[in-house]
Amino acid sequence: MTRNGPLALAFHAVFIAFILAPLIVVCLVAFTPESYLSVPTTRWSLRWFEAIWGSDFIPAFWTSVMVACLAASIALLISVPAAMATARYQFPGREALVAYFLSPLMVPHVVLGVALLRFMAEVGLTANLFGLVMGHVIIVLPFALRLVLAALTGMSRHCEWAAWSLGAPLHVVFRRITLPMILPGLAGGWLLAFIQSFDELTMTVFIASPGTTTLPVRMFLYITDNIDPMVASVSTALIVLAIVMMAVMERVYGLERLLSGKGAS
Amino acid sequence: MAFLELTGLVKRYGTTAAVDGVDLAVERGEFLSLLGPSGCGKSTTLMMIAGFVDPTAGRIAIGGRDVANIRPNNRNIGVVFQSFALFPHMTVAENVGFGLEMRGVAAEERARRIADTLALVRLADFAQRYPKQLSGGQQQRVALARALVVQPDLLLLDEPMSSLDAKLREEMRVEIRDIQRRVAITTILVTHDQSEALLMADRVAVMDRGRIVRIGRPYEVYEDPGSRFVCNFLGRTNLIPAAVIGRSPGRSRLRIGAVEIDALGDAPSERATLSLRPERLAFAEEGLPGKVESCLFMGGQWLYRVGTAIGELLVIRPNEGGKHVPEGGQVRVSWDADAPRVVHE
Amino acid sequence: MPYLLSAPATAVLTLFLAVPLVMVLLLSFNTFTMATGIQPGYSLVNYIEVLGDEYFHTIFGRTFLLAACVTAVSALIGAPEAYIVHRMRAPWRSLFLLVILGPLLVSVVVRTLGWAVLLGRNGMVNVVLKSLGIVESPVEFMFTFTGMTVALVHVLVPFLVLSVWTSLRRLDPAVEAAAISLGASQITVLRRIVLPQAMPGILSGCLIVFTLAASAFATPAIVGGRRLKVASMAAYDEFLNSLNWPLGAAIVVVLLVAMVAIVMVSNRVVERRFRQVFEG
Ligand SMILES: Nc1ncnc2c1ncn2[C@@H]1O[C@H](COP(=O)(O)OP(=O)(O)O)[C@@H](O)[C@H]1O
Ligand SMILES: [Mg+2]
Repeated sequence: MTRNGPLALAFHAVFIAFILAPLIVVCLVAFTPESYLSVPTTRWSLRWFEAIWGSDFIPAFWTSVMVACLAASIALLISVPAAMATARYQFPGREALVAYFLSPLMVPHVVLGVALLRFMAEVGLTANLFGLVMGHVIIVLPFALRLVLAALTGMSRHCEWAAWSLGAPLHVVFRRITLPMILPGLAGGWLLAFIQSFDELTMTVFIASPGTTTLPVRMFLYITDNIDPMVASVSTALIVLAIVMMAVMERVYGLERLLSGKGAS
Repeated sequence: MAFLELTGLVKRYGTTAAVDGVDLAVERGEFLSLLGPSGCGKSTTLMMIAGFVDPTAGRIAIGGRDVANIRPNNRNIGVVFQSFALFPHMTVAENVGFGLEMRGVAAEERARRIADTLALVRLADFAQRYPKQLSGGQQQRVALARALVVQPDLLLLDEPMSSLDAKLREEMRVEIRDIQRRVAITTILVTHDQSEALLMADRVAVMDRGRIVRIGRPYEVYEDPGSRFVCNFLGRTNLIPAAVIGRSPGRSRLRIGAVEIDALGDAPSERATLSLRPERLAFAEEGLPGKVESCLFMGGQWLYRVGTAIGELLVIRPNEGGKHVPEGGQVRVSWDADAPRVVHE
Repeated sequence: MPYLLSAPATAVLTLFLAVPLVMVLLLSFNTFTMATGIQPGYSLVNYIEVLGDEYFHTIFGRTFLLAACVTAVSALIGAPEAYIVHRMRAPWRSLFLLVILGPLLVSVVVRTLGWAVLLGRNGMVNVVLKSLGIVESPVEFMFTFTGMTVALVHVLVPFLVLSVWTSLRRLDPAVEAAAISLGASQITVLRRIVLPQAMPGILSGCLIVFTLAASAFATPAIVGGRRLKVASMAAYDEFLNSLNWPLGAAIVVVLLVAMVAIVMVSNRVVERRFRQVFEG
């Protein structure tokens, strides 16, 4: 294979700088000792990290974690049987059903937010964590489903058949053979769903109430008000968290395989 | 009544028929091989017998009982797949013990039978390994042990040896054959490898495009293939179009150019195809004159192409040390009276 | 059996996606006044306002112009970058892929915050520009169209790189090598062999970026602010500030319809173009 020329490498360097610059700047600003946005040069300080404790970013963080855990778990719980149905059975309407399961990908989050706001107002679910979680379930369902489907179709049916012929009824085949074999796929699906939900802003901003503010919403509202180093230090913590997750995911699945399913901002 | 009976078995996927009317009877304890080219419907037939695939039409009876409404888990069969399909998250012992566990066999009894069966397939020392840690041949034997340990009424093998390398495959053929004899279990082997089918089975059923076109003992099927397809599929042969000039029961007199040959078999019309197996041809003092066009050394055999009045003939002679006819040599090709066969299209 | 298995997912999607969407559609036909609040009914006043008002023309024009600019810039820088990464050797390739795709795991808010810091009056970009003598007084990027474009490209370009890279991965390196051995120049190989193969990836990447850019919320809201409203921001204001829900609903319905229409038309055009490429 031919190598990249110097021009190409220069372009590459600029591109990578463009990708990393805003993230690096955020991390640098987080360590400023000043009370305004500035990149520390001589003195570094952890004061803005300390300031996070006791701020309302902390409860927002826990709300986010809880919503993301619940949404990812529920999405996985309903996508496993759905994936079993579409991967293991031939039936009329199968294609349409798959398209329906993936349809949340087509709906912009702002539309979803508006729709759920209206829906929750109508059925009296406003300021309710349940409604928020279900909204997130809708958003992460396609991602969870795709990974579960990939795990199921990537697994040899012969293992299931072998167990079946050895005397295991279908539900035992599922529990003893299928489930353990697709477990890595399920874990990947859960993780991707968790991240999707954890980072979701656009829909949540419509339906979050003061009691159910997630971290991205809290940060968004904060930033539109004013930008100070504290929000940079929160961001830095999130970047570090993402790097850790990335390392885990790269180890276990290969990041690019997971991300090829991702599509939201 | 045969132990396994298939009657008018059909499986359609959309408009194409994967299995197109199969009738088959297998006796208890018999080893039958389903032989045919890839895609002819062998696996589909086998999977219908196992119950994984529902037939579009037809009837399957095991031990005289129609199994249409019996799920695979209640059919008491053992299946070995080409991929072996071992459970990757279980040890060898757990794999082999799975079927016993499902049958509610007590732990002690289970351990004993696992050990016995692993000994039978010579894997006694590997009980605690995971499938990943085994070689292909060992995995294959685990798959066999897992199927045998439940003492099934019927053993179904779907190309069990095609993912092994050539040398191992030959060993496993003999080994599986011996084990089958010892436990005397009714067995159906699916394969596209003719020598495997001929070597292992009591009877061979040759399939083509979803149908069984010839069934019989290996020697019979080889010697009297009946059709051009079977003839070509089982070993090599010289096929020569001929005119039919005389008939008597079970025999036909054929003419190719100026040469007249007596052949076994009835010719249905004025034209017929003559089959001459290359290993049944010899060089002799008397016979059809010809000229050696090429001569290839194959180790155990010499492979000749001989130009004759009835066309180019492939002749295979055993290597009996040193002597062979060189290229360009003049020879006379002869054969026994039962070598020429009439085959149908 | 399969229907039973897929019932939970179907139920959840129907209840929390299909029903709410229908509700929004119905809501957009309702009317609203400050005094009376939302009045049920079937009226087109909201659509007349959204489609007829100069104010909304500007907003929708800006939204789709932004999406188009972001898509164009992303394609222009993302596609070459994908090709460069594709040509890298083993450890580098996955490392840089990780660097490019990794930010997708970080919240959009965080990434946009970075740009807010960089693009501010005293931000790094201005510092660099001034020290290089390119500008004399700081340039305002925040609350500008350029700033929004830059930040949104940063947010969305990974999708394009990923999409192009996936289609390049199917490209057989032997074909490239063969073309070069036949005497083709690098440029010719790029134009005649690589580009046609990468085209489906570029186009599908563009489509993803365009739809995400047209409906983006956080980045335009933070970098563009109230001064440079886009459609999703306008809907947000109607719903959460003016409380004119029917008008907000009409805005998102128009946004959705316009997006679907643009996607469908571009699909058509692309299909036609491709047929020509393959036949000619
Ligand atoms: N699940 C299926 N769906 C559609 N076609 C199938 C399916 N399974 C098998 N077939 C088709 O049926 C034919 C016979 O397949 P198979 O029984 O696997 O052949 P063999 O085992 O003899 O190679 C093939 O043409 C194959 O493509
Ligand atoms: Mg097969």
